[in-house]
Formats: sequence, C-alpha cells, structure tokens
Amino acid sequence: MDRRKAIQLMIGGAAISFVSATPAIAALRENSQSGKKHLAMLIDLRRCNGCKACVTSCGVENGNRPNEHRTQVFQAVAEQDGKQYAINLPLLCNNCEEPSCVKVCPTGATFKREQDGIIVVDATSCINCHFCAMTCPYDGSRFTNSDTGTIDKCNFCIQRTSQQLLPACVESCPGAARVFGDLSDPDSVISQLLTKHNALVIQSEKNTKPNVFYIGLTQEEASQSYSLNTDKKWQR
Amino acid sequence: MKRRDFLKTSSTVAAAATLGTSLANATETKQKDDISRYAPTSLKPEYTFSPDGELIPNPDQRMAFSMCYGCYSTCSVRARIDNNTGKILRVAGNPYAPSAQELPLNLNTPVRDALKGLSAIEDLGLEGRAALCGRGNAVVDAMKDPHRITQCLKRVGARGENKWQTISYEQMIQEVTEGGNLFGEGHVDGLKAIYNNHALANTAYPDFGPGKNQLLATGSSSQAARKGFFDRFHKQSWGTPNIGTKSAYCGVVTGAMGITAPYTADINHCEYAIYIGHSPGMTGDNRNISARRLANALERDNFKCVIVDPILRSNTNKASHKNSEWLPIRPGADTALVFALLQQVINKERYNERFLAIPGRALADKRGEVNYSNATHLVVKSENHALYNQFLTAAAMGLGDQKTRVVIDKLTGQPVANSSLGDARLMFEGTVTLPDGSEVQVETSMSLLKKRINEKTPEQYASYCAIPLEKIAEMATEFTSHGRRVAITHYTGISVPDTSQMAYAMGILGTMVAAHNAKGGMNYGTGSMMGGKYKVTQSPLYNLMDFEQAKIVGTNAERFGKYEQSHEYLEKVRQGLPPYPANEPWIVTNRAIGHSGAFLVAHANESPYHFKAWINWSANPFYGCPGLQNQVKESVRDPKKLGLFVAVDAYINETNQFADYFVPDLVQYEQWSMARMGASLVKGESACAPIVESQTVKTASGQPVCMEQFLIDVAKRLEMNGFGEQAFSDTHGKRHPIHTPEDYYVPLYANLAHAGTPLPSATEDEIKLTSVDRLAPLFKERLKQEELGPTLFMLTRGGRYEPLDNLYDGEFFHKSMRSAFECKLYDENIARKIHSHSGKHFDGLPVFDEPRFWDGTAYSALWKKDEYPFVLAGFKSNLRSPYSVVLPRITALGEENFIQMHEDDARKAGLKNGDNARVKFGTGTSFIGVVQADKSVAKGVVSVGHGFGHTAMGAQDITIDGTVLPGIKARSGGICSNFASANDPTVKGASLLREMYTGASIRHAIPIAIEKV
Repeated sequence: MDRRKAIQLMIGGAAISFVSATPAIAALRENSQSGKKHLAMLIDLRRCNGCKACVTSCGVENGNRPNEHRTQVFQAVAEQDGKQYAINLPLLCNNCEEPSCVKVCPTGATFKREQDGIIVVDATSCINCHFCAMTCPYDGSRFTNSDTGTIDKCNFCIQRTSQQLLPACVESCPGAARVFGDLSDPDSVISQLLTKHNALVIQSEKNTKPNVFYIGLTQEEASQSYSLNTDKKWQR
Repeated sequence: MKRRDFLKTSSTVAAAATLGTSLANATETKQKDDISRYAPTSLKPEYTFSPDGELIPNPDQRMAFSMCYGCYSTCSVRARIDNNTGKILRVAGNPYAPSAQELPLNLNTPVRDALKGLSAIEDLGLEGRAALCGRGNAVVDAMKDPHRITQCLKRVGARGENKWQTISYEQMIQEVTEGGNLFGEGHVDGLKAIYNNHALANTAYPDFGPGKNQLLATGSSSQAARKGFFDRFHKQSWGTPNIGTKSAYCGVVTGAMGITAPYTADINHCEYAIYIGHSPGMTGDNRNISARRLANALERDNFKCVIVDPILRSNTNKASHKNSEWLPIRPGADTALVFALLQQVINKERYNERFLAIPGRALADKRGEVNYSNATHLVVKSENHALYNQFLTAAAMGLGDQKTRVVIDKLTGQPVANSSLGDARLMFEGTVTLPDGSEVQVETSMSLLKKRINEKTPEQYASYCAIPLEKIAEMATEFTSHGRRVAITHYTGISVPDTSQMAYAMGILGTMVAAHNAKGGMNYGTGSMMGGKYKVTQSPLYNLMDFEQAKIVGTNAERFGKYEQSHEYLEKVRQGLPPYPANEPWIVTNRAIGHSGAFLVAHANESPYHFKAWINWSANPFYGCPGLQNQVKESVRDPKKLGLFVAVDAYINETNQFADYFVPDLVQYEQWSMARMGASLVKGESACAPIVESQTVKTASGQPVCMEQFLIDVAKRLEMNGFGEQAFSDTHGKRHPIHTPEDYYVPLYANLAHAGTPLPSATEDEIKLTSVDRLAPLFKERLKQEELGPTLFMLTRGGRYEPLDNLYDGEFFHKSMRSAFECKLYDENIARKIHSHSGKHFDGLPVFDEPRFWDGTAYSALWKKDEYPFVLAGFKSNLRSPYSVVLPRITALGEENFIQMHEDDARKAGLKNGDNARVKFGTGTSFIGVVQADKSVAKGVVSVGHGFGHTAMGAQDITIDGTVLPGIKARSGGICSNFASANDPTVKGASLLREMYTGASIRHAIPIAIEKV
C-alpha cells in the first residue's frame, strides 16, 4: 500500500491495527532466550505530565542544537467521556526490530547492533542521503545534525547505556514515566511492566516492530501517525 | 529531497542498491564498535563501572552538587563539569535531595552507593532516579548567555536607553557611595549621604521616619540564604523599613493575614484531592517530586483528583482519565465553589463531628489529635459588649484567663473553659450570664459559619463559579467519604480579588474532615530548617547576627500598619475631619507583605516620600507585577525623583534596564546558595558553594563581583555595622570579619551542619568525588579543625534535611513534619482589623463577595459586563519562569504564548485560531496577541500564560562601550499581560489593583474586552 494512502486511512479511522494488541508480549516471547540484550523503552503515559525534561536533557546530553530534537513530546487536547484532557505523547526513534531504515542505507552507516539491538548511525560513514529518514514511518525521528552534517537520531544514549548508565531522558524523567531496560531479562523492570500491562506501540501496522512501548495509549491513538516536528503551540 | 517526493520515486530502492555497492567498504569498520562514531556530539559518561561494579570516575570530568535557579523551587542538583574548560556539561537531580526523592536517601549513604543507585545496574536507577525538570535541564546555558552582564556598567545617556559603559568596580563603589554630579544631570546623593540623613524624609508624614528610609531594596526571597545576606545590609544594618520581594505579586500573602492556607496535599496516601488553580508537578511547588508523587498516585485505584482551573494544563492527561479530571471554573469564583462545598458538607452534616467537638488543646492531646478547631468557641454577638465579634474569654466568664475561651459543654449544656476535657456543642446560639449577672448574646463559630455559607443558595454559588450543582454535590460527597485522606489545596495562593477568603474557606473545608497534618491529608511541615528551631544564622557555632543592629524608625512606605495610629488619621481627627477614607490604601495584615510594587507606587505618588536610592537585586517587578510598569515607569525614569538606581543581576531585565549602575551578579552554580525545597514534604535546605569559577569581573583584590561583595564594600565605606572587621562573633565571643561572601557563608554553613545533632565527617574519597576538595581551603581558612568534617560532609550531599525514618507517625505526619495549630472557622484577629477606606471592621468569617475596588465599588459597576464580557486569567507556563527566556533550549520549544479561549467564545467574538486580537482593560490599557481557541479553556475566559512577551532579558539591543549587542528575536515572542494590566481607578494617583483584604496584587478575574485587529 502506498504510504501516504495508508496515513490517510489511519487518520480516517478506517484502518485497524494488524498486529496483536499486545506486541510487547510478543517481543518478550521472541527475545527471552536469545542470550543477547534487547534494549527497549516503555513510556507510561499515565505518569507523563508533558514537562519535557526528556527533551531538554536529551539535547544537553547529546550535544544537539536547541531546535534539533531526538525526542519530543506531542501534546494536544483530547476528549474522553465528554471531558477535556491533555495528551502527552513522548516520541523518539523506535529502534525497531525490523527497521526499514537499515535496509535502505546505501553505506551501511545505520545498522542494528547485534549485542543490544540499538540502531545506530555511524557518523563517519553516513552520507546524509536521507534515505533512512524518508523510509522511516515515524516522521522526524531522524534528522540532519547541523553540526556533523550527518543523520542523527535517538540511539538510547548509547554512550551511557553501553556503560550501564540510563539514557538521559529516563534518568531525568520527573514522573518516572520512562522506563528503560533489557527485554531479554525476564526479571528486568521493563519486562515485568510489559507483562503486567497492555502496552502498545505506535503504528504497529507498519510492521517494523518498534521497541518503544506505551502504557495508556489507546488502540485508536496508537494507529495515528505523529511527528517529532511538533508545531510548538502547546505552552501550558 | 522531501520525504513525499522520495515516496513518489519508484526507482529509489534501485538507486539505494547502487550506492550501497559503491560505498560498501565504509561499513567494514563498524565491527570495531567505537561508540564515538555513533555519538559524535554526545557527552562522555561522568563515570563508568568496572566488571565487578566498582565506580570509576571519568578523569576529564568532575561532579558537584549545586542548586538550580531555573524557577523558585530551588532544587538541589548534581552537575557534571569539564575539568579542562570548567564548563558545566549537564545537570541532573541530586539523589540525596528531598526535591528528587520520595524519601530522600539517608545522608549516611556513601556517595559511591548513591551514584551507583542512579545507574542501570540491576535497574537501580529506575526507582532511584533523581530527576530534574525540563527547565532545570536547560539552565546549563544561563552561565554563558551572550546577554549575560559580567562587567560593572554605568549608564550613558538617559535612563532606559540601554546604553552603557563599563567601569571598574572600584569606580562604581566610589560613585554610588559618594554621589556627585554622576551623569551630568546635576547632583545625586550617594548612599553615604542617604544613610546619614536622620532628618524627616517628609515633614508632612513624620510617622514615616527619617531620610535614610528613602532607600528601597527589592530582592529575591527564594534564594533564601542570599536574601538573608541582602537583608543583613538593608534591614539589620542600614535599617530601612522598605524591603520588597515578589511575594505579594506572586501569590504568597495569605499567611501574612494569619490564615493557615492549605499547602501541600499528601498524595502519597491521599484518596481524593482537589487542586484549585494549581497543577501539581507543573508550577509553583517543587515540580520534580510533585510530578513523581502525582504519577504514583494516579497509578492507584483508590485515588482521584480534580484540578479546578480556568485552563486545562498538561498534567491532567487522558491516560489517567479514570482518576483525574480538569474542572473548568470561572476565574475569581473559587470562593463560591468552596462555599458551595462547605454548604453541602455542613447542611448534610457530613463533617467529622468528633474532631470538631474538641474544644481545645487539652482534649486534642488526650485524643491524640495534632490539631483542634475553634468550631465550638463562643463569639460575642452583643454589639454593645467590649468583646463584640471577639471570642468570649474565660476571664470574662470568671472561668479562667484572657487566652482561654468559652464553649458550651456537650453533656451539661453549661459554659466551660475550652481547656476542659469534655466535648463541646458545635451549634449554639443564645445567651450566657456573666459573673456580674449581665447576659451576653453568643454563638459558636460553627453556627456562624453555617449561617454565612447559607447566605446564598446552592444555585447561586453554582451559577457564579460556572460549575454544575451535581458536580459540586459529587465533590462534596467524595471529599467526605475518605476519612482524613483528602486534601484541597492551591499552593501559595492565586492572585484573585479575594485570595485570602478562598484560602481561608479551603482551610475550613479541610477542618471539616480533620485532614490537616493527617497522613494522606494536608501537609504543613515542608520547608526550611534554617529558621524555626535551629536559627542557623545565630547558632550553634557562630552568631552572625551579633552586631549592633539598626533600629527601624517609621512606618514602611507600603503603608503596613495601623492607619488609626498614623499622623494622617490623628490630624484628621484633630481637625474634626472624617478620618475615613484614608488618602491611600493601608495594609492591615499581621506582618508587612513587602510588596515591591506597592513601594514603587508610593514613590510615584511621593507619598509618604519618593525614594532617593533603589537597589534591585535578582528581581523584576516591572515584568512580574501586574499593571505596575505603566503606573510607575516615569517616576523611576526621572533622575530628579529617583536619584540613584543600582541594579544587581546577571541580566538586564525589564526593571533594571532603567538603572544607573549595574552590578553583575552570579548565576546558579557560581553562588553560595542555601534554600528550602518547596513541597518536598521534608524540612531541609540545599546548600552549596561555588562549583565553577564565576564569569563576573573581579575586584581589584581578586574577588568576583556579586551582590554580596558589592554590599560588603558599600557597607565598609559607610562604616555600617555587621560588615568589615569585627562583623560577628563565635560562641566563645571572638569577633570575626566579613570582607568576602565566604566570610559570611562558611560559618553559616558550619552552623547548619552542626545544628541539632551535628553531621558526621566525610571521607577523603567522598570529598574528592563531589569536588568539595576544591572548596575545602575556603573552609579550612575560616573554621576550626573540628568544625570542618561535618561542614564539608554537608557539601558532599548538597545540603541537609531533617533526618527521619518515616514521614508519618500513625495517621499523622511525623512530628518534625507537622504544624500543630488551631483550625479557625472564625478569626477574631481579622475581625479586629479595620478597612482604611470604609473604616469598617473586617469580618471574622470568610466572605464571599464579588470583586471590589478599594473604595468598595464593584468591578462590575465600572467595567460593565456588556462592555467587558470576558475575564482575564493567567497561568505559570510549564517551561517559563521570569528568567527562563534566556535559555535557548526553552525558547526552542516555543517562542510565543497565546490568547487562549474557548472556541465557542472565539466564534461569538468573531475570532478564529491564529487571528490577532486586542485585549482591552477598563483602564484603557491593552495588549495584542494571537488567538488559540479550543475546548480547553473555561467559557468567558481569556487565558494568557506568563513568562513570555519580554522586552528585555536579551530581547532588546544593548549598547556597551559603543558596541551594539543585538537583541535575540526568540526572546521577545508572545505576550506579557502584566505590562497592560489594570490599576485601581478608585485610588488617587498611581495604584495597583489589589486583593480586597491583604493588599496583594491581582492577576486574574479582571474584566476585559477582546476584539480582532
């Protein structure tokens, strides 16, 4: 299906998620015996107050310019049972299991690490052709870093997570909404939470098997497409 | 190529494949797995772990604890600093701090363990994370902001032209102390001449004291220890009564009226919380720990909260819709809502009768209650009696002393002292017989309250606050269905026309269910341990206040005090003139509210006098105080009226752009700073010494210029007490000097470290790990050897908090965390106060009334509903504080705010999203902004977030030594409603629109009109 058409269908509410309502469980099942790390993030939307500590801490940690974001929080007003609520939806690269970006990279600069599943961009071989960004169904999660001239994106703070530290957004999250850990370890906090809750990924129908899961996201919300390039009109 | 275009190109995959072949070699190196290839611009970790889990610090970085000043919560932070450049790389929360943890780490936890507890090892850091909010993370850029002022400046040209020259610190000290023809505009009195002027400032107002009172000092009380130093100069040493802060235009004044305003909801165990005009974890209180606590609560099945606010905020999120909701309310109608709730609770007798029937402290203690109420206390209602509208005293009844009150014993029906151990009657209205045989009409507070809240019908309240009756009934039922585990809070007050009454009524609602100080109820124990029982400015090692302090002579210029004792009143009476109304509004609170705006209004009106000098430190009243700028700007701009204006700050803000001299001040991380952590539920302070070298210019003796150094050097030239040699003493009576900030803060920190049970000593390893070794020499030079260990230990933890194993003690807060008080349903002290316009006594009960000007005219009478159909409401934006506009990571998340309103209102007003609209006040002032309309604003409301619309702080061009520093466009985006906000048209001369009882400024519920432009 043409991607644009697909998006239109989603927004029209015509499309239904093709994958299990609990893809997290499926991910756990697939990876618990692999012997390798399977790093993933879980965002509990019930705990997110949209403060954007993730956004600013990420920017400082990763040396991005203030207006270039590896993570953003989509915010909007939504109605539920006749009452108005805020939606705070943190977005980032999903570090997918079956990433479309890796397939199209002409230089192999972007690839999925075997040892932990993080998808990285090798700045020494990236030619900034944007094929990865264009094929990624998650708009804005990849962008050109104006300082390096190469593609940048969330890599789960690999400089930290490869050293047994937490990603900046996770350690700075005041609501403790962001949880990070290893899905291969059934005892990890993230595995336990995913077993307990019905967590969804965004746009599972894109079949890239994201590794960013959300508690508190409805099926309808999960099937929408979102962009990290927010319009910045939410100031509350 | 745009993404969409890419998708159109069918040959893309083929193209990628071709490129892939030609560049295949580039992928070979990836096996080497050099992380820096994937993270070329990211920071190197501050520490790593050996295979056996031992912490290995990064030798290129250091870690140190400091304090954040991204807002007024003053959280403790841990900073990472580049050893080579001295630059702060990143900040995060401090795991020891109550601002970051539910129950802060025990201070005895070794630093290595504390740091390991933040890591991903065994997922420790998920539970143990010490978070810092979005603004706190962005504050790293403040230090090196291009618009930061680091030199001593003197204005060139007229005030406010933003043209400056750099001068030496020594020249600045010389000129501000000695005065002279400093600007070619004629003679200016220096601080020395003002300080030594003991003649009356204005002979027409002899009760306002001598000329030395013509020094106005305004500063930031949130930087608590620094404010203590600021006050040392102005209050204790100079002796000016005119010291202002932001409090009275920010919201925190109910306490000055003697009202115990609801503070923090204990949502750890709360089952139903009502937040009025306050979004926990967003603004006001300590957002880091409040966000965590609210998130925990929202996961519980037995928790519900209602956020009552004119505008929906981010923290009422849809994912938590099962237990949280936003309830839109008409601004300024909160008292109506609370009265309506009280009406339901009292009329349906859903209150905790067992608690309310306790007559006093004695039975409360016996029952194990922390509080008791005055619900059963008898108020004298015979108009001719001396105690009219006061509590009947046991002395008057022959039952005891003046302080003891009288209740009707429940069993006997007889009047008894409230010290009795029996329950008392809640409802009583009748007469009692005094010892002389005369009868006096009395009524219990509860009975009076019941009448008061029934003065209006439920429908009238509901209609006034625009909340459906059923919703109010549901809230009242919920509030009274969870024992004491409920809370209603507003945190530090909302700037509405009747804030004090709203807060008073809210406290009473808490009293109805005995929620005060209860586990899961309402907490009052948070705050500072500096003051209170420890008094660390005076003990236990050093008495910093041991110097001959100035005696303050005269009423302060904001007119705090008793009008009936003023010269004006007495003169009017002497001349046979009616004493009321007073010429200007008087502030009748229990203590001065220190309203910076009110002082400036006095200056503009030259009543009681104009100021000869103004020192403004870390404060921006022109920006923050609604309606102030347009009332007083000309009087501040005029050098004939204000001789000398010295600004002390890191940035040229909207206020101090009018200054004559600019003293560069330190920002967070460079300062000595010690302050409480708001809403932390734990008493304690962050305490830190400068962790990086300051950016400000040095004095000739090599000290960085800052607020403290400036005041010290002025004080020494003026030979003021408490500075220079022999400035204070230690407990052995030995005198010590204050020549530098550290001369003051080192002994202060030693006191805090030794207060109560002294802290232990830190290990060498911990001192090194937290970079305290860099600071140790400053302490070694000034402290005795045995005082060093505990003091440095405190710095290795970033502060100190009251040690406790548990927040709770049974069903109440732990005794160090609670505040035992009488819950007032009736306040005889308020009933003694007299309004300076009407001459009438205030009411001892909370009052529900429509907003009124000082002369008693209703807003609606002057600003008619058909002309001004909307009301203005503001809110404190998530990422904005008065200073955060200088942070590029904040402006990058949105440069402008909006005129936010309900979409139905917008439609009726002919407005749509993105339109420019003008908001007009009844006083003729207005502002223009961009409309954002949806369903997330209460109807009839125009809501504008604060922290935008700057005209200074780097938004403007500044010329220094002939070179133009261009303004940054991103900083000027949006609207600041305060610039245009209304004043009080019933007050002569310059004025502010003020709360009807306390004199605080009004920001919300002001009638406005809106039109498309």
